[in-house]
Amino acid sequence: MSHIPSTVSRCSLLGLKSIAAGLVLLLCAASPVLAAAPNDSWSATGGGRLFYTDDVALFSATRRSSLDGDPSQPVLDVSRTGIGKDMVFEPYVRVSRLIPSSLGETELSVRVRGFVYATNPEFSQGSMYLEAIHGFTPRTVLRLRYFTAPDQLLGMTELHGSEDNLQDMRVTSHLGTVRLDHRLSEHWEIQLLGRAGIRNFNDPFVQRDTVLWRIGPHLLYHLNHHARVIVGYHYERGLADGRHEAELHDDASYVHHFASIGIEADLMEHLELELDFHYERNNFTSGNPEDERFNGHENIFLGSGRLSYQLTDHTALTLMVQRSNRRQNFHQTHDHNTNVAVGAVYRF
Amino acid sequence: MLRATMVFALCCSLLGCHRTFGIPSDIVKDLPALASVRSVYIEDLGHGEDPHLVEGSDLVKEKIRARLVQSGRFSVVDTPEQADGALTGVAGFQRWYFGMEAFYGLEGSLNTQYSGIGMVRLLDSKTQEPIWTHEYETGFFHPTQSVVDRVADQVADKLLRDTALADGKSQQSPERPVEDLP
Repeated sequence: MSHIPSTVSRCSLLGLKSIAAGLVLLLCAASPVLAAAPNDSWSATGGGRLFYTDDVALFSATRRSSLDGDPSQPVLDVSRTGIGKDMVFEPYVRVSRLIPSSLGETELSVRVRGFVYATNPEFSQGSMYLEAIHGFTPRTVLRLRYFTAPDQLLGMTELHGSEDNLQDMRVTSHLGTVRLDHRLSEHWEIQLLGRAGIRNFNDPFVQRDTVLWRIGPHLLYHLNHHARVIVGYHYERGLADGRHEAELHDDASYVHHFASIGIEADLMEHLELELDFHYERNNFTSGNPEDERFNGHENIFLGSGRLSYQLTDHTALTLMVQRSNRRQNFHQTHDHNTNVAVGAVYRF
Repeated sequence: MLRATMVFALCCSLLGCHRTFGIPSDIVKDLPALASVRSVYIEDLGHGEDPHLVEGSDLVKEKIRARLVQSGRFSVVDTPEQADGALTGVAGFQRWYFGMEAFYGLEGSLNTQYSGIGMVRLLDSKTQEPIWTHEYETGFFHPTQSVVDRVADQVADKLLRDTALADGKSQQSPERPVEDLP
């Protein structure tokens, strides 16, 4: 199943290795501090999930589709997905440090996650989050996040609209997010999110390089300490380089609408349930009638459910199910993607 | 080889992340002295720690107080001067998070988990010497038991059990010298 040129595979591997090496260096640097200063507020968690997915090409996009994820992550045209099913291992580590000061509490954290595919290893990828969360008061918190997912394989797709010329499409994403949370009352909380970033594609598809920005509010209703409802809407604009190169007929610029509603509840003292439903609409804004995406749009419906059970002071188990449905008006097909996972997490 | 080295370094580094608090952890069980304690003053079990690092100390304190009063063996007094012994240390819980996508909210979210904290000592009110100590034992949660209950119950159960043992021994051999067990 591996059609990937070796140079590209090496790039992907190097990206993963860089992230892993960075994390190890960070932890090595932190470890003596942890041992020497027991009152320091370092914390580390790690874990893994084992997924079954019925669509290798859509797995990571479905997995990252959430209010605080990356719901506009590019995917292949739906006509090119359907590569098949796979088992995917998702390891992750989060290291954080809480820093109290006269200006409030600040938490710095780094999170690294991988998707390791069992039978399609060329799709394996890594991502990293750097995050700073500052609490001005117990009611007002500011969050800053940098997210990167380097050299991510999306799959094989047509080059210059030729069925005979299929090439691997790869993308590297760099996204910065800022979110302000404010508790309005005992029950109501508002969150304002802004995001901006770039996506760089590999050489054959550089016309798809995109600059994007996103804004959106989230409204939370805390029923009590054990349940809350979240409603959110995001507007995103993506401007692809292809809009300046009409002869390529490949302007991937878009307007993205994302709406989500979710509920989180404690079913028992240590058993929690999360249910989410997302609707996503991508309107492609190409003004070239010869472009495949001219007057094109895409509808995505996604539902997910997750159970989390805390087994011990340091261990939790998770069960997760996701189902998405994608349809594009310029391809008369629609794709489903179902992901099911079991996982465990450990606090070191 | 590089991969194995990285995994090894990662594991070693993560093991260093276990957090302890600035409370002596030597286990002390002075049964004769414990038998003589009838009134207890419970200090602030946050012990000056950052409230973001140790939460629920007041709840744990209240539950320990209720259990000791309910036992009938101890009276819980309001000032240290009235007490034979003072219960001091750190007890509560820490939140921990594992979510990848979710920014956790102001009051936690689905990704919030809890781990108990407990390093408690009973000090002789006159000499300030430790009579009895207890360290919280991590383990499996009962599905319906909160982390606050788990921490408080461990302290109260252990103290009452050791006190019963001390009372029994004190009745058998009242002249037995003070004993420090490692």
